[in-house]
Amino acid sequence: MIIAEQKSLDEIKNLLGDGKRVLVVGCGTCVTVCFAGGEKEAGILATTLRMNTQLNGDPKAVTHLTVQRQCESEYLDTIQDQVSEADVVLSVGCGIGVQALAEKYSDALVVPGLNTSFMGQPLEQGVWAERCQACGSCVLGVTGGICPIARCSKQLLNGPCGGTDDGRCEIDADLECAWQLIYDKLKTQERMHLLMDITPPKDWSSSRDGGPRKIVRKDLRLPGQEMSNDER
Amino acid sequence: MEGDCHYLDGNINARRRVEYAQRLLEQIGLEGKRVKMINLSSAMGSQFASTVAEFTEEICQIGPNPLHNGDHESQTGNNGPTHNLRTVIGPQME
Repeated sequence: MIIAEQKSLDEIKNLLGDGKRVLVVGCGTCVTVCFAGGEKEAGILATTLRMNTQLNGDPKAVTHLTVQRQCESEYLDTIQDQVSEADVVLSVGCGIGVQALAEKYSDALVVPGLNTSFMGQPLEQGVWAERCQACGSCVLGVTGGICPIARCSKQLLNGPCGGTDDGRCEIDADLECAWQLIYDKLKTQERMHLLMDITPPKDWSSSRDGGPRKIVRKDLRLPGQEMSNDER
Repeated sequence: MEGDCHYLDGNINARRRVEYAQRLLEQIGLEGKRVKMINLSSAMGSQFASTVAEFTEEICQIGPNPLHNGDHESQTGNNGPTHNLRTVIGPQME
């Protein structure tokens, strides 16, 4: 899931500028699970802004609401009235949610309340770690389910490097060596022969390195929908 | 006392929420020490009285809440100038 953190209050206030009527929009999906921008967080942020700006002599009228998924246009249909009444919309969804809001309501000033960081998973309460880089060419099938692109500091495909140190990474000793983990896992699975296959240099064109990406599923397109250039 | 809660770890969770509320108050620009938690049993009446008296004195020293305009009507609901912080913290810290 997407992991994000809330921006500082000072940064958020700078983004709000002189806007008097602020609508905080939370999201009920990823940012709820990482306690960054769900209903509770949106409510607390709205209260914090309201009280802080009043204390500072520049009161803002701050309301809040939460949609189930901020990244999909259909879920944003119901909040049109609230958006139109606001001077500034403060989205505490991920970067996708912010952009979806801004695109849906092109006349609205939409600013981000979060820093969207990575795709990861919770390790324990309050701790999330990066697990996927969305490289577009998944190698997890041959690495025992451990991603060397996301978890190896050097993104090696035929690791480990010479710096692996008792299972820790030489770049960051707080990190487990991904290739040690891969080795251990493949050994458990009795698939060590996979380590003997040399993986050629990665074609990064499928990742963000190849430019902004889009996927078109022709099988899901509805009759009557206009064909994009990619589909022709 | 702490850890001896009838609800097992209830008062430990409560302490975390109180500390969170204190941090929020500081972030807002109010004094975090306006909120306090102590552990007492129901049999500790005299300690309760002295603790409350002491806390009352601390609060008097801090001064009145500058956001309290004495109009409780305007403090309810989503659009009020202040909002009951207690109602939005809730079970957040479970």
